[in-house]
Amino acid sequence: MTVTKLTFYDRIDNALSHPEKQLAISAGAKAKYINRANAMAEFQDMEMTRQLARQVRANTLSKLDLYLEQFADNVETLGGKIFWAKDADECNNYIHQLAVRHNVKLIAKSKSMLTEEIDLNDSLGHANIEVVETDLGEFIVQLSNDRPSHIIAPVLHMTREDVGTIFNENLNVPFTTDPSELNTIAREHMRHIFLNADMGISGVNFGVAESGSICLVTNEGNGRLISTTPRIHVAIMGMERIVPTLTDLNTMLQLLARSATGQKLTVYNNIITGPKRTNELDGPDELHIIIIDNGRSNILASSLSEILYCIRCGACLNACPVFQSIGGHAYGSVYPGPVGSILSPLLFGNHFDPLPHASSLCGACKEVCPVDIDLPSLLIKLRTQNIQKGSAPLWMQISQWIYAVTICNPILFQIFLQLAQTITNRFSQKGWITKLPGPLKNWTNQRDFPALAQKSFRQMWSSNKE
Amino acid sequence: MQRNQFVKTVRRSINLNDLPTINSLPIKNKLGNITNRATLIKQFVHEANAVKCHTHLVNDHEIAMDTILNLLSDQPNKKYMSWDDKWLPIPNFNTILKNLKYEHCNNYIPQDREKRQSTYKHLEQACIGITGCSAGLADTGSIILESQAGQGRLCSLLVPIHVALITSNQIYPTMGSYLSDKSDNVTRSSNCNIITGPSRTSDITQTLTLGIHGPGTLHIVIIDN
Repeated sequence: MTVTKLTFYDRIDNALSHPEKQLAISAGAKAKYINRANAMAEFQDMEMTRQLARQVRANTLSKLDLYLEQFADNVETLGGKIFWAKDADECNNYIHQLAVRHNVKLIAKSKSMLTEEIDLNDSLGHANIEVVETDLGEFIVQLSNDRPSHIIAPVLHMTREDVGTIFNENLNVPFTTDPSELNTIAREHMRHIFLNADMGISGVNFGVAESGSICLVTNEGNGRLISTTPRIHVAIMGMERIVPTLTDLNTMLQLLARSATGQKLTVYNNIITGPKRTNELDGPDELHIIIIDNGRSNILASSLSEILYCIRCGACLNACPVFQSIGGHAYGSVYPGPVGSILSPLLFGNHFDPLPHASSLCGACKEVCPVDIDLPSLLIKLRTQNIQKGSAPLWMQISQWIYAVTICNPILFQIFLQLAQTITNRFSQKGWITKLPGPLKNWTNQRDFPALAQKSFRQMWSSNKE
Repeated sequence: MQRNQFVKTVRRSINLNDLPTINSLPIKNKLGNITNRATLIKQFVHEANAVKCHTHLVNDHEIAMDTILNLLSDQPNKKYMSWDDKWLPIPNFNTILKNLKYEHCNNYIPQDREKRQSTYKHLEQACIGITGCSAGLADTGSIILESQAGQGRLCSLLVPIHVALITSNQIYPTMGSYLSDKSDNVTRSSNCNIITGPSRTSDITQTLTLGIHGPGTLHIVIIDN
């Protein structure tokens, strides 16, 4: 993934300096949050299903090697090809060579965060192969050279006017802000791409071990088109995306749709079992499934492996008060929000170490997660690791050290407590400090800081004793 | 990377992590508690309408045929795509349409690049795609379509209007109940789709619009005799 040079704090400042984007993001995220809540409220046995889904994910990861082999055997029996890619380069090279071998000039692609992770479009672009994003949101992102700001709704940060302008400037059409007209423009433009592409590329929502099927989930139908009209279909799957059986797949699909968009089921749950068979009318002649590691086996070996339960529904993004304020771009990663704050440092390295600190640990993410990932605990684990390896900012390391020493020593603790009591009460009005000095003033810009109680518990205890 | 090397890395990670192995999963198919046929149909119709399908509940295949002819007569041309008669609950469906001078677009897609593209060009002119169903799901208003010989995928994909024919005995309470009865059917062809409503997107400012890449209109004709 291309990494920006800006620090996390710069990116946040950037995000906060665009109030219109901020409004679009927080309205969009909140709408999705409410849709999800409504859909879950009418879901019978929701909590039980969620815990079952969690067990399915835990079971799958604990025997992932066996399931991967079973999946691959089944795909190969059906006439599909499996390629095992260690990292982004191996995956991109395979697709490049395949495209060259078949003289592919145009590729239609459905939305996949994994392909963003491995920079597939850039890699193919360098080789003069045209790749067109067919998901409406991703298409707009591609036209405007932007980046997706949400894993489910790539243009959450854009207004209608933004989209109208982008279409007007890039597609030679009159300016409009009507979503349904914009839709029609995109549909007409994209038809040509679907019917002329020589290769379709997609991600994989779930791979089913028992049958060698892959499931692509789309509302627009682009996932169906790119896996039907081109002669070759290439599906790229993160190695953890396996479910053992069709029954498990069903459980996941019910939760995924409700969590992502508040639908009972996504419009098209497209289950693909091998390439087109001899007597069938339409479909791709070749199916290539690339199973990619790209750092996942390291996560699997770590104490943070629970993050691999994730089914990429985006519910934790919508629920997160930090995401609602700063939006996806500020995270600087293809995976934003709570899940991204954990995945990004693990997949993309030190540059993303500050991300886990951008959380109030309120637990809203865990509450909405369809597989009940304990995101707050994982965030704390990552913070601990950051301190231990010394990658946290110096001021944080020093204050952590002071805190650790103080809390372990009753006399020091007493002294600091008295000091804090005196100082905070001196500067407070009616128990609240409304203005802090220097760099601390950011804190009191939005809210007041409570002063410590006039009398501490210890003081009350000893005075009561007397 | 070689398969065995890849799998070995995964195995090593699992061993390092000491993940708990969970052997038996209590997961079962949710069967739903409705068994009464009339209630099932009612729920199916209600849920399908809720996801913006147009449902037509009819008593026999003749009225079903009339419904389809009505839809066809509103179209700008007489071209349509459909599954083979074998897969449709109306007998001699394609022959009837042929006698009425409707043109069935052949949706066999050849391997050759040029021929393939000219076929697509031709198929794009079809106004309506008519298919049967493997099943309907009452709790979500979904229909399930396979892609065996004579059941082209494009009939429910390339056209602006998709008409799906279903008989009332094909309606299951939930996906779980379908899977526990017919799970092999899901994987017996290269493609099985669980379709819930017409194609849609809310990408632009969370405003729902229908018909982005797939059909924008989905009619479900339920034959209950």
